[in-house]
Amino acid sequence: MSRKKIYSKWFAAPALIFFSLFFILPNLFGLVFAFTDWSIFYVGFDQVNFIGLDNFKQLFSERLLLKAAGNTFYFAIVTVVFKNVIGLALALLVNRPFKTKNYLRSVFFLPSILSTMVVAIVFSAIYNPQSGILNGFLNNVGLGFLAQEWLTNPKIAMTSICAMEIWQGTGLTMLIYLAGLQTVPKEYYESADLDGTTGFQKFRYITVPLILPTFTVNITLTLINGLKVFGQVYALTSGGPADATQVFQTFVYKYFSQGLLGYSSAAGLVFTVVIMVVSLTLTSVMRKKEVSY
Amino acid sequence: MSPKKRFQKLLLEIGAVVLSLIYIIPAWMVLVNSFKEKKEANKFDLGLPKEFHFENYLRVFQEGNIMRSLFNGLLIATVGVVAVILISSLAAFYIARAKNRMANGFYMYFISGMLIPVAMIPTYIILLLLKLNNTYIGLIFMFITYCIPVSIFLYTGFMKSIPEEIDEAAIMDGCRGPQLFFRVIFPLLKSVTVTVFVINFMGIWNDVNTQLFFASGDKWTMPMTVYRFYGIYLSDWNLVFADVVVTVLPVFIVYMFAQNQMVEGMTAGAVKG
Repeated sequence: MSRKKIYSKWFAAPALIFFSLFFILPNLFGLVFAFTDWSIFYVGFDQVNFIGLDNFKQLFSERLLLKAAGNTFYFAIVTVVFKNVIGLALALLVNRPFKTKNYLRSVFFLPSILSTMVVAIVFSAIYNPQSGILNGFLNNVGLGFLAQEWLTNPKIAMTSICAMEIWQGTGLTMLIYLAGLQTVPKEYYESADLDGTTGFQKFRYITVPLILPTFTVNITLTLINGLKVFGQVYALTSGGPADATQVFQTFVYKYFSQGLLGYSSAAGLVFTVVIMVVSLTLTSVMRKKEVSY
Repeated sequence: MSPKKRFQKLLLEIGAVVLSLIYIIPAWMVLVNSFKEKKEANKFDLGLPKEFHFENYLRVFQEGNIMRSLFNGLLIATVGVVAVILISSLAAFYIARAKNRMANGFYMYFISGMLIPVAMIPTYIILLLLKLNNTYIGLIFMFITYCIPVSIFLYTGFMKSIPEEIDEAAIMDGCRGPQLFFRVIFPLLKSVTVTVFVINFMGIWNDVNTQLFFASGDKWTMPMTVYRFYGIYLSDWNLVFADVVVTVLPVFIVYMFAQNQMVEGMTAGAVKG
């Protein structure tokens, strides 16, 4: 009995069909649709015209695209930095033999299982400038001057959305760091203790080099996640006030809901290319830095 | 441990518990206010309600069309996840065992889905052409598709850790193809299957994007009703919060039951990278 016959490629057929038809094909079609003036209001295919680069010319002349790109990167960078710094700190914290270790892990992780939509609605209550608990807390501890119109002030609305995402997503980052920390053999720390190494030295020279692959995973995951931001913005501000919080995907959705299929395809294509370039660059840079043990 | 060190440790632990309040307080706010009367709830006060208004939940069920959305969510998530488990584990079986160039090629092809974003608008057009837009089947197909990459990733990683001697022994006993998979291998995948189930069930249950693009109100699941509720009952936070509780509860229960296995599986995949 040959290997080929036992492990038949037909086992992969159902997955191939779904994935090709509903994921790869749309991405390829996107390459075509982006060059058409397809609109939802066209009745037949004969009305669809190829218009060359017109969609892209119009896209890149829109200031809103620049704004959306800027906001998307701002969101991605801020959330990557904070989720990873706080996530790692929390992982180091709950990796200690605390009595409340399991409680702490569960609580920090819990928001990761919630829908962005739900979290966003709850945060719109927390951020409420009159009665929300955030301003209420600031007023109570004498920091009332920090109280803000968190979502309607165009200068800070984007940062407020970032803060919500950090609140929700740090637990997952923590958990992945925690798993990474647990792969470091205990003997390494024990022999370092014999040499009289300080806690920080142990972290810098043992922990960090050995969990570099975990850094790669976490930074890649959080970055891709950040660039794909959509529900958070859609539910909290819908891109407002006055387009101050538009991101790539809300930008695409805006034109999609106006029925401009060709134009929004073009916008989606730009988005896909940006994500691919950023994440492939990042992965190849980070993989080079890893060490094996 | 010296007394000084023990004190430091205690201080650190107290700090950590205080920090956890950042997560507990919003949850508490939602829960207590969901039982309050409208005016009281709109103050977002953290105190217990003067009177417990359980009828808030009744109103959510009656006015929010919640039963429909609960049904939608359960139907779409359950059918989607069961299908994904079958489809992905079979594909991963081939990829992990055949170990030839085609298998590697398939693996890269599927894994690309974890990187490349969904082309929303062309997908919408394809659904439109297949007359599947805003249907249960269409939505389920979408979710199956979007769950395939991570599921194949997890299954393949796990299956490589199952010794091939098991296959060989079964083949000696006359087990072939599908029988080998379903009788011998699949039962050994139990722990990763639980992980795949939980991750994908939560992913579908919590989804926002797919529904906003591909479905209208009558196919929406629970999180979307919270959004709709929020739009309609902007000044009735007691009802909005009650809807939030109803939406969160099922995922919370799933998480409670499968917590360890889920955490294990998620992080195992991530750390091996």
